[in-house]
Amino acid sequence: MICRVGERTHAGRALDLPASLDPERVVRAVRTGAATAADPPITVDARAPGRLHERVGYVHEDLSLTPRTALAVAARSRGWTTGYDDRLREARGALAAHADVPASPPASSRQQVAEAREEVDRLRERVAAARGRVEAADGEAPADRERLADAIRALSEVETDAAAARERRRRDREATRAARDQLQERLRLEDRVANLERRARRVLVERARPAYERALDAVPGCAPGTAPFETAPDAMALAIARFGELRAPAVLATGRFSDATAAAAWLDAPVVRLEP
Amino acid sequence: MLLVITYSTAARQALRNLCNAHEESVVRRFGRAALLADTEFAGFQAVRLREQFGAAVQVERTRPFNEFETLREPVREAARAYADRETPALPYAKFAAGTDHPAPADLKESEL
Repeated sequence: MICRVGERTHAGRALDLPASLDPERVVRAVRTGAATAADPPITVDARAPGRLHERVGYVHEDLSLTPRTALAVAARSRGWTTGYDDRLREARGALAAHADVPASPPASSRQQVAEAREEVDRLRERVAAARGRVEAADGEAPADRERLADAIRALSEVETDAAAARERRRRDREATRAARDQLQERLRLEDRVANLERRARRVLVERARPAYERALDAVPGCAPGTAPFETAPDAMALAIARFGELRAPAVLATGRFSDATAAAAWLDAPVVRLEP
Repeated sequence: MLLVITYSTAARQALRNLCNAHEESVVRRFGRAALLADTEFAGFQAVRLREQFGAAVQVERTRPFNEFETLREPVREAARAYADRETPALPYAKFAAGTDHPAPADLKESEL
């Protein structure tokens, strides 16, 4: 690999870089080729990372790691397959082919129904009050009769509006139901993929476990026989990286190796080591 | 009560988290649905989920079903008689044919 840090160029399979560099920036440079937004600019020319690099390509003591998943990814990086793979490919294909779910109607039709109902109630009360006045005056007050007629007209208008709002709401509910049929189908396909992935992962982890445990026992400073999936994350990451194929250089910010050359030999992979 | 049904992995997870955090508000949990107690808190959570996940969250308000209030007597009677039938394999349409029990088509057309 060739790694440029500011004006300096480092070349080789095992590079020791000064601890003053931000390891996150080194990782970005390894994964994308360059981290030039801050000083010093870092560029890396090396093999492109595989999926395993996302998991264990950057090893440090506070690494957040799901070791079984990472181990399964490591097994895949070595080209391992399982009896679930055909079904998995098929299920992923079906999921990818599933049509996009249409956008759901906005909540506004619910609000319109509620508002229209309130308005109808309000005007019904007005009509009742106006009618009461007309009846009390026994037809003697033409202004009251006029007000009653107005109120009845207004009520009839909002009742029409309310009916229209209910009809819109009904159509929205139907559209939403159709969208949910699609969502439900997609959820089924997603669950199927996830289920197959879980089963494949279990098979891979079972098969990889002996080699992984041997690698873990060999991690410098790791007591033999430690719980294989519950020990120090940097130790687990190193063992998984040794078992799998990182392709791109590993970035190490852990004090387990005396220098990059020792780490590269142990991992059998190119290494950028940040001096502690 | 509020019946909350989810239709995506993210919405399902959010509902699970909600149920785990507020067990006292949960009447019953199903795979990707839950029945929440009839409180403003449940309403608040339902609206929050709906805002966040759109059509992937369905909210229905349920109420207790009292057949003595909701169903007419012949329907209740038919249900009891059918539950008590002697031949378990007999479909209701055949069971009702030629009797006073309501026909399934009539039942399907009559709203509660």
